[in-house]
Amino acid sequence: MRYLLRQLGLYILAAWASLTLNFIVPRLAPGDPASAMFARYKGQLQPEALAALREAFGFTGGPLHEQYAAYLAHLFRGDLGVSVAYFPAKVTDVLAMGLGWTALLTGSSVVVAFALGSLLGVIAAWRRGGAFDTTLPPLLVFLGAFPYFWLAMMLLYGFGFTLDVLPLRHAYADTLAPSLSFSFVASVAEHLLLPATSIVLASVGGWMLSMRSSMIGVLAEDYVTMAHAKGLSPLRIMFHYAARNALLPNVTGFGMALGFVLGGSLLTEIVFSYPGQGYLLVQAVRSQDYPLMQGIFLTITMAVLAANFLVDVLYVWLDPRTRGR
Amino acid sequence: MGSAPLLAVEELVVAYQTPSGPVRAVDRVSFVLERGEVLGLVGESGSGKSTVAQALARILAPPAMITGGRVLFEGHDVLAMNEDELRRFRWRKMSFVLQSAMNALSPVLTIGDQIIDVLVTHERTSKRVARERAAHLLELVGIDPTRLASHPHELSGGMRQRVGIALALALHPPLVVMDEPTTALDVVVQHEVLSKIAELKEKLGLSVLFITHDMSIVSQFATRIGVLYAGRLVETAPTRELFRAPRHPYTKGLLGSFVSIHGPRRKLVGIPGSPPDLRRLPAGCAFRARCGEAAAQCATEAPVLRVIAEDHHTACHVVSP
Repeated sequence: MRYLLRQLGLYILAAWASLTLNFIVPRLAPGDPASAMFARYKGQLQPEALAALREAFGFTGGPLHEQYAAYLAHLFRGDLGVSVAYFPAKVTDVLAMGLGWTALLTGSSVVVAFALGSLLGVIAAWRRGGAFDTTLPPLLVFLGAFPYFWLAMMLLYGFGFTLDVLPLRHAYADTLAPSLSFSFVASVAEHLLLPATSIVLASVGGWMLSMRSSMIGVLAEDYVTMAHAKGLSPLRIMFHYAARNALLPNVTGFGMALGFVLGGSLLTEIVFSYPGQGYLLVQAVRSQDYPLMQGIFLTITMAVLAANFLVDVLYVWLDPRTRGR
Repeated sequence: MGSAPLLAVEELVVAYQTPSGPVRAVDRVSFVLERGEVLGLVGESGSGKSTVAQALARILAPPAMITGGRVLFEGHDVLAMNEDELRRFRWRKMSFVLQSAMNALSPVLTIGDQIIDVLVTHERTSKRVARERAAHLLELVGIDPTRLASHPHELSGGMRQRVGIALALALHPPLVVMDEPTTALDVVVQHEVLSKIAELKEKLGLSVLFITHDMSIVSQFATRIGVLYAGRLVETAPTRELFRAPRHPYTKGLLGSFVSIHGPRRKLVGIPGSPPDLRRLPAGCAFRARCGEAAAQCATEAPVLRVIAEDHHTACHVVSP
């Protein structure tokens, strides 16, 4: 418990540091980015937007420490300013639009890829040298070697265009209004299938290989030999004794992947016109929407920190050796 | 069945499959273990003693494979059992205390879980009953039953090895195989664990196959001793007989290389050279290159075990009855 509290303190410190960097970096540039942007828009930007921009960066005038205080105060109120690209929508509202879809798409793909890859790795190591072990890893590594957006495009072309069995774009059918009805949920699932499959296909091989190699190490341990000698069933030895131990080193990688979930799978979202964070980020960059970019980076940073903390909690639960500390 | 010995190993061969062909780690080893007996298997590292032990319950991991012989337990051939029969045989009839106290228990499961799952698997008892029995088992080896909830890393090396012993006794098996049970422990703890084993052996009437490289430990324990060299049994005899009159030059070397506190003062003699490479065993006797008594016959013909005295077998050409 003390270990977790200490970790939590560490993450709060890291969060503060990243927020502060977010404040300092724009001020290191000469001039103020809001006026620079105003100039670039050649008067097409409304004055309200300029004011929103200045406020978002904390350029409210006054000495630096007052600006810093204003910036932090805004953040804690959940006020990230107004988006330029989606003016006059608030950045928080724009983020809320993309966040859910990204969490759904990337989150489910990462979880499925990790679970599936780990399971396959466990089985491959258990039957090391068998038909399964000699065919599947090379195949998945081959698939994983393709750029993931290329896989996405191939899937889109094959299933969406040529065969026309799955939708081409968006997160749900344009004819439906978001609701909790069966037809809406079914439509979401249908639209999720192709982009999620492309991410899973590209990443499952990596999870499988790392699980396979740590499993092979664990299978040589005395406690696995002991479990055989105890006359336990093969399934129990495989999962309860071997896989539980082999999983530990892979949990860290899983946490890292989870942390980057909110960054979205940029190119996958673009290929499928999926309205997630990655898609928003591209829009923000295209229209030089600094407040939105800042908001997106902020959520990514926070998600990485939160995922790391989650891994720490998970570790304490999975590995009793961390509990004493 | 009553007349069959508890364990009879006949011409056991274990080979490691390597890229350059099979390597015999255990070569035609035969011995008998009667009920109530403690048989010590002695040899240097690499002599095949642990491989013999693991072959008995067929828990060898690839690339090691049993390629010949028979293992008869109460007259039933263990090597002929199918997977189901084998699982029922393991631990119920023959349990293990493994070499390293540190690694024989899974680090992520509690001591209790690891004792209980044996009871639940083999006796289909409820978890509650199994937990009570596990508590008794810990008491038996002198560990507080509250330790059931502990994880292995929270125990000392000596305690862990005693947990290993408790685990081995869980199903009251007729035979316990102890593979270097005290090697990873310091001398004081070693003594503590050994006296616990001796006490329990008397109390429960166990038969033990005791595997070690340490002559002084085996002399306290074993009723009979078998000496392994390069995967072959080179001498077997009752403990007193072996210590009184060792016949094989290798056994003599082993006995000459440890210190006895109580015996007369004598010069320590080591065995020159090192164990042979199993991949390139010389023709004839494997010990020939290190042997001071080798004769011409030793270079051409591998010696086999033969009777030297009553109940005393030696595989050596230069020894005569």
